[in-house]
Amino acid sequence: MEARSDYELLARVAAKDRAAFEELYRRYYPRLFAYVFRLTRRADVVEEVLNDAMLAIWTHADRFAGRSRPSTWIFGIAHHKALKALGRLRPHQQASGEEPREGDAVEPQSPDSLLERRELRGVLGQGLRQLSTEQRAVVELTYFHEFSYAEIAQILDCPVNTVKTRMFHARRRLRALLPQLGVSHAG
Amino acid sequence: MSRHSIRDAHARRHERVEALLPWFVNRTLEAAERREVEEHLTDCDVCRRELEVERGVAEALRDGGEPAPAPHPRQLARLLERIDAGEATPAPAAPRWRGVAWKPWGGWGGGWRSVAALQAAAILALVGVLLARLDSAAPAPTTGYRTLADAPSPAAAAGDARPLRVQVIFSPSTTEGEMRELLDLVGAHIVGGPSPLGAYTLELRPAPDADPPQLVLGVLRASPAVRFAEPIVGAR
Repeated sequence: MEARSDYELLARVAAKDRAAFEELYRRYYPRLFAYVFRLTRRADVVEEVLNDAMLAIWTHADRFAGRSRPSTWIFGIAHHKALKALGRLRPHQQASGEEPREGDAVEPQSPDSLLERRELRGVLGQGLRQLSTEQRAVVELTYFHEFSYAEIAQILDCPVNTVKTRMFHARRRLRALLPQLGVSHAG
Repeated sequence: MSRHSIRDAHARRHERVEALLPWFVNRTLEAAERREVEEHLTDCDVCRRELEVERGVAEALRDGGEPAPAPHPRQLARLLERIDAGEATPAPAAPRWRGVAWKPWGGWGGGWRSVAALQAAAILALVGVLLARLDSAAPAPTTGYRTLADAPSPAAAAGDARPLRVQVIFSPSTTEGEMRELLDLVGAHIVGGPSPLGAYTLELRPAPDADPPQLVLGVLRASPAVRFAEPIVGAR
């Protein structure tokens, strides 16, 4: 199906092949967009984060050593850029995704944002909102992007056990919502 | 092995397997771990129930996902300009959603590639708002829209109250606010898409409270937020 593998594309990007970069960009944009938006819940930063991430991929493709899948490496860059953007926008908050305090004006458009409301609308969206950024990252990367826990550890640059722990706590929180999701309680 | 230590071993295995279930669900476990999970599932009711829960959550998460947007052609162009300029320091160059005024987009440029690259980001917003606000009365448009009177469409002729499906391609630089207003205004909701070409299928709200479909189609076509709007043949 794919004309060129991600490996091949990245190798060509490392050799400064613009056409390969454009192909890689188009291939990854939708997935990265979904990830970064759902991670940051900030429509206004997504494009900036994606641009920075793609520029970093262009600049540093030669550093991709092939020890992981290209998608793992690329998501790792996007994740890092997203956390950086969040940290810049919410310097008083931890990147762990604490909710804005009352009266906090750092997300002026968010409560009004349609995207935000889209997230809020679903029961699961509400549950995800209660998770820390890192917990949400693990949940999204697992269920939405279907990475293995080892790959998620690479993306988040943390130990494998941390990934499992974050997922465990995220599951506990989401579980409270299960009746509303039409899923019977376990245990 | 004592009964006690057997119980401990089972408990440890149970914990290990329980922690692995999300990745059993997404099928990314290594073969050995997958086998261990499968074996444990045969004699652990708790993990079997947990597995069902995990599958439910995974499914709900996937279903709750927004359609994946294609990149904005201008965005890629600007990124390439930055590369050309040899900028070492990333700086926000992408158009932001907010405050981006609609501007005529100069043609289709790269043909298929540009078509496929239609901006769909703001549609994420629309899906939600339309689902959430199907009952909303049509609000008055604020800014940025031509009225039907300004740009009447030949299609906006005789009324027809039957539901209509329309294929729509939105302009790349349409803001989420503009799109919200437009779809609220016409009482349409997205039922499909994006297609490989970036087209979305809208279904117009049926009568009695909706405008005649031809009128809605005319409004859609007249809007700068819409590049293309055609009724889907056979969908009426």
